[in-house]
Amino acid sequence: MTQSSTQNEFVAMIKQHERLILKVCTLFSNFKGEDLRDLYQDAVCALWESYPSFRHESKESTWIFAVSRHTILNIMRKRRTNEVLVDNEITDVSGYDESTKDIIDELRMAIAHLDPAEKDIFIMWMEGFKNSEIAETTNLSEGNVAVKLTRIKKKLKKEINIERGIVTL
Amino acid sequence: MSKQKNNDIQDKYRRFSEEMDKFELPSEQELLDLIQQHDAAKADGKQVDFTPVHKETKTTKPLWRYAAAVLLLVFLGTAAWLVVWNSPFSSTPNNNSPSNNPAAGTITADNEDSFRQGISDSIPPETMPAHSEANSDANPLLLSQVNNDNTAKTRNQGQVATSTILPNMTCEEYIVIADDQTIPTDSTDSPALDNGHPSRLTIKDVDMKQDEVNDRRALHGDKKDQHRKRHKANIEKNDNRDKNINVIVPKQNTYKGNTNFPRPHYIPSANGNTRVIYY
Repeated sequence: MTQSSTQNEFVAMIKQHERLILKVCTLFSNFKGEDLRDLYQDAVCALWESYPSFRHESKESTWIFAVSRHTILNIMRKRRTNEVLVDNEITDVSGYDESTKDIIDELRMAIAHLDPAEKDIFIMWMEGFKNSEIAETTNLSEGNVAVKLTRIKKKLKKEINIERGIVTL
Repeated sequence: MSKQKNNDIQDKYRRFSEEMDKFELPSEQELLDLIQQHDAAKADGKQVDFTPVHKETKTTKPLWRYAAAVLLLVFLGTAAWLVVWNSPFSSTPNNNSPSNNPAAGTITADNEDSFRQGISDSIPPETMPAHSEANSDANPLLLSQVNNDNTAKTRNQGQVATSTILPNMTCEEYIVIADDQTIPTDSTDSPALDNGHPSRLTIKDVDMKQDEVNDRRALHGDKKDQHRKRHKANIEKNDNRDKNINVIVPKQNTYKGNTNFPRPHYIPSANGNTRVIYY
């Protein structure tokens, strides 16, 4: 297989799952606008570097999710160490309208109370992954994934209640 | 209800997905260019850093940390200076240390003069009456001069001894007695005057001989008798209380509670003279 054909194959795969990469970039970071585009390009470059080791034994979406999530978390960790982001400035240059900002913030707030593993499971579940695929990505058993999904739903219900001012004991 | 809540989060995610669909992403050609540039940079040996450089980010300047560090240094410096200044190795003279204050040491024949000088220096002028031989007779309370005249010395010291053995006296009574020049200071009425040396008074009280103890017991009764008398008095007092009779309690001793009262301190010297200082 020539280099150009590999590149074309990779680009086709990326184009097929570009929304998944973008959602992972959005939900695992606090970036918006141009920052989010930069992050997306970094995720694509990391996927390209890892592509030769991809054995096609798992689904492409599962592999893309795992690699891009790992890349984004690494970048966020580095940024947190080196410099402090000013959220207001990022928001100012985001280019989103108010309704889009609200939607993204609502979802970020809702899943902010989940730990990283729960966040993985929730996003993959919302993206339509099967329990077996989630289990493969997160190194959990299918039963454990099902249990965690139930707990995540309960936790999110509670958060929504608090958001709406409903307190349940 | 629970379905509704599940739908809420799903609805949020659906709306989020719709918004993400509107986001403009690189085309296939742009992606190809991107990975080719990435490969070229990698082939040139350039380090590929995934951390983007953003104009919108800025490094915080922790000026408050410098301010806090300066304040901490000032505080530590002050604390260290105080510790060194109060240490015994300090070269700064400490007026409270015995080595620098002759009044705070043991009196010997060698340091007697410095001791006297130190006492005079250590007493604040407002608490120590001005002493001079000229006005000592005019104000008999000023008994601090060292006087070689035995008569005057005995008289003044006798007044002091008289006042100290009357603990029930108030300050006013003390002054009246001290002003009274007719008190026979060298008579036997002034007890325990031993060669006009009132400093022996305390020693004599402490070293009371057995026969004197017996005499005192004979005069006042022994402890059992005193206890018996006190017990009897208490019974009478209780009886009177039962009869609703008011008992007049004598006034408390004003001397003990009066801290402003000048208390005499006797400082014996080697040549037999005594210096009395009030503070």
